Amino acid sequence: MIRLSSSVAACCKRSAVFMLAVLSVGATSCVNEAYDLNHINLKMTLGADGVTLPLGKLETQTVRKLLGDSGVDTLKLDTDDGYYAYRVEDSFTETIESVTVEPVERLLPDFDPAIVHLEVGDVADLPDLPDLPGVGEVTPVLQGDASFAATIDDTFALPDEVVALTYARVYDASSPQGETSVPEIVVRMTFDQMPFETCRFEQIRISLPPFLVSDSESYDEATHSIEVDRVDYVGPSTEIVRIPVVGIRDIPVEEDATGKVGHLTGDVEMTARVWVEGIDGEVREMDLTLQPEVSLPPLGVSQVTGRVDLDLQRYLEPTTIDFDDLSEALDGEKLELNLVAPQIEIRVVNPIGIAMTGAIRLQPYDLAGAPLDPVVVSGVRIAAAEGVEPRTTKLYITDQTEAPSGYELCHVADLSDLVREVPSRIDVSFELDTDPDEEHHIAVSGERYDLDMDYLVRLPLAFRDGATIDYTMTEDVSDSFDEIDKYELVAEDILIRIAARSTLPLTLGLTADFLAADGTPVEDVVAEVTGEIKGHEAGIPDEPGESQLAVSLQIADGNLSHLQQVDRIRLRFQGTAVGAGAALSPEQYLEAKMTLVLQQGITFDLDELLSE
Amino acid sequence: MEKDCNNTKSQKSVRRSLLLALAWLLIVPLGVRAQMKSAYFMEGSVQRLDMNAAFLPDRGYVNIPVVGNIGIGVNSNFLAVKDFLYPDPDGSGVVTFMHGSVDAADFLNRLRQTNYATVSVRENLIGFGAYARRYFWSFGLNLRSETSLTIPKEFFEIAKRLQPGVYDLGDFGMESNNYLEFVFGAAFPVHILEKRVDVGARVKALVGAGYASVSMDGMNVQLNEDEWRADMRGHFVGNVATMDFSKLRGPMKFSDLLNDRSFSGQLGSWGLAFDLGAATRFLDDRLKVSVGLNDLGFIAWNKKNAVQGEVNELTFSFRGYDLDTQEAIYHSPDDVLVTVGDPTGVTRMLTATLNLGAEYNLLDEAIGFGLLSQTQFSGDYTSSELTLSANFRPCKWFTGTLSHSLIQNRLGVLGLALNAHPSWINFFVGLDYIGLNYAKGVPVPINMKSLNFYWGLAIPLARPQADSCFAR
Repeated sequence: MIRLSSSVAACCKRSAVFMLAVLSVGATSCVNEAYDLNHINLKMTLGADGVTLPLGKLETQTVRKLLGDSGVDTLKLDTDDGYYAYRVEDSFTETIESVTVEPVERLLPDFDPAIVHLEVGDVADLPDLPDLPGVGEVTPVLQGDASFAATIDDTFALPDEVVALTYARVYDASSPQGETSVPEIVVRMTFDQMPFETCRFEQIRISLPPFLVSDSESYDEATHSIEVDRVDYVGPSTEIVRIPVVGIRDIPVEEDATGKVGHLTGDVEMTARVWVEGIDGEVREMDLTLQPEVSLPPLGVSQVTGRVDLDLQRYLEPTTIDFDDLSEALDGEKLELNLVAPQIEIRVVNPIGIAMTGAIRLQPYDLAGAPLDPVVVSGVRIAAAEGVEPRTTKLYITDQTEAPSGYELCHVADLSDLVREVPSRIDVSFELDTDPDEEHHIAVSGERYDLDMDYLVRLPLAFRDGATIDYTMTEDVSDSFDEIDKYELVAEDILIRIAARSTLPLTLGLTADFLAADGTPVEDVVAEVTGEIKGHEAGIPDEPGESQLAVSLQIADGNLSHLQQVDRIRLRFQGTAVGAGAALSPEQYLEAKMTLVLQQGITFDLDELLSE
Repeated sequence: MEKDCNNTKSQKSVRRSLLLALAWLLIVPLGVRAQMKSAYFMEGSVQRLDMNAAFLPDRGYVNIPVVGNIGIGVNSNFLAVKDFLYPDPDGSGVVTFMHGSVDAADFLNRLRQTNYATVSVRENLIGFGAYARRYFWSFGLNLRSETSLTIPKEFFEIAKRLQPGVYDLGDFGMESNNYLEFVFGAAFPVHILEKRVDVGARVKALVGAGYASVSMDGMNVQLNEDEWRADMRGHFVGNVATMDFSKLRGPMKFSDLLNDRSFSGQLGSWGLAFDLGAATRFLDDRLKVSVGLNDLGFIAWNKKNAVQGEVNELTFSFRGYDLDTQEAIYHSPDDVLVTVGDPTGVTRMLTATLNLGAEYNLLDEAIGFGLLSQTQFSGDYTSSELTLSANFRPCKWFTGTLSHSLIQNRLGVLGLALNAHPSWINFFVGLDYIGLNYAKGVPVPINMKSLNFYWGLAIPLARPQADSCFAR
């Protein structure tokens, strides 16, 4: 048993009060169950009454900068009016195979010899009796009339396109001079015997078929004949006359088993009075055989005038106007702009004497490559070349009622439909034909004809009155929210305020959809947009006011982890043009400032945040 | 038999020192606290000697080196568990003040415009005291450290509310003062108008160990729709014994400032302080009245070990995202840059403490009820505290005190000190702030903004002789 010393015992007695007081203090001390430090919740909310923070600013974006950054090099500033226009120009050549005509061989027939009965003629009929030997002496002079005739009935091949042949310019196909040579009909006479000393032909008359054309001054177009007064017979195959042939005309075009042929028919007739003298003996009459020879070299055809029916579709292939850079800049999204109609200038150099009429078909395709409604420009006429000189036709396709000087107006009232939706390309088809009833002049050169075409498409970035635009773009955000669930962030009532200032002539509204990977909307993330960016009417000098847009983002339970479901954000801009003739000019601009308002702050778990 | 120990010359010296101390209060003072208020009326404790130089212990003492007298205190005007942790509305446990369920106005109303927290340490390395002749002599070598942090209320307002506005956080500051204190004291009774008055004085030779101060001259935070921005500038002062910063001049990185220093071998900084005290009794010794003025002094920080400069304007800003590049528009300085200027020697006042105490005793001093007014004079603020205590002396070798400090603490915070001082040991343990309301799990008092802990272990020496002037 422990015995305390008396002093200690006394001290303890007296300490009773103190101990009682200490114990009382201890008894009244308590553990506050509400403050359980074994469980400290580190969830924190920043800005529970609402926090506003800057989200970003879109620095002033002028149209000049936007278009410069877009990579659309074909968007040019139209210096005439200071507005932008999309310009595409190109040139191409279509080659048309020439109409070829085979040479006409052996056009003229062979003549049969004829017996010329000669008998004494009246000296008086010889007014210009030459110094014939024996003159004064009674030497018998015999005369007679010769007459020859032959019939031409020949065909020559023609291209299938020839409908009618009015005239064909010909040349000597055997001459080394080619198309510059002039073929000649050479008429010769030959007696089978020459029992005379002299002989001459007088009053020679040669009639040719009407289809032959000669430019000889002696040639009588009315009678298709040529007369030669006198030709002395100097021996066998005496040339009587040379008749140049420049062309053949009014050739009937027929079809036979070989195809199209030109049918040449006609008669060649010759008459002549024959005088002979110096016949031995007292011959009062005799018969001589006279062989005429009428030759004509093969006729090559250098030009034809007639009616043709060319299959131009065989030659005129469609061409494409590409809007590659514009479609790339738009990144394949659909964009309805309702722009004013473009102006299309087409220049055609036609080297052939064939006019072409018909239509031009403009087939646009959307950015996805699907065809849109076509536009047809009817009443198109490409003028024919005159002679060998090509002829230029300038067409101006527009929905306006006037064309620039030198252009033929091709008015299309609904031309603006061509660019209602920005196309990726426009296929241009020339649906042209020749008029089979119209006479054409064709140089038959044997070469191909190059039909040169160039075009300029000018698409002003101007909107029709009251035009609406519709542009949709989709942003891929599939990787943006991968780790957001790590931090257990909660933010309800998220508001994005956009304060914008715009001098663009468009009032823009915005809708936003949050899409899952399969393209369906994410129900847990919904955005509602109120307000719009007001457009500014061109020409009004006042600075535009500030527009306000508010994007209210509602996420289920405010749990930002739901954003992981979002694969893409689809933004659709819909707008209306402001003012008449609203067009884009370089100095128009758009600027915006965005603010993020977390109306109930943002909540996170500090423990989770630090552990990551 | 009473001996007349009145020393007129000493009294004049004491008065002169008091006047000088009052004058020095005009200079920016900085001092170290850590005084055990609960021990003020415990005659057997050694700790009370630090609070009034006139106090005469029952016996001499020799502190156990290093561990003989340790005091640690945390003092603040805002740091209470209940102000930063709240019951979880969704279940058991607690949430921080940043939780969404904690009302911002309610939380902010609990704070002061300027909130401070101070950690102070006082450790006696060597200490002893003894009665000899007509004086009680004391000597001590103490290590004293105090670090304070000042946080403006706007800081918490930004954290909690994040509302748009312009906030001035210029009151941000940190200061740390560390020095060695060589104490030499003497206490003795005098008679004034036939009334015994114990008077005492202690001279403290101070050796500066290290001083650091960083304060923000300007810290503006702007939160608006366009930008979140913080602009800060400040200045710093440092003084570290034996370190040479003379090669550091001009602009540099703050990290280089900390690394590029050399050893000089010079202590450099020194100071002088005084403790003055007086105590007497009335009403047949039942009423004990005392006054003590402590740490009236200064430290002259030598420029040879000093470094000072300006913190170059730091700017942090966030302006959202560049929609073109999709990168955050964020600016922050790559490094903290400072401009080191020419150092100067600075004389800083210590934080003086004025203790005014009165105790009424009953039952032959078995029980005493005391009232202590403690006022501290710091450069940034002046704080006062009133402490009520019930002091129990059931026997000569044991004293227990229950105390309650008003002003800073609401009801529910008590102090407790125990001092056992028989002839062979002097043991002390005390806390000025013991909460009655504790958290669950970790026994942290919920309502207290300050706390301290004192520990003492000493070997008692002889009492004063019965016929000496110290006898009553």
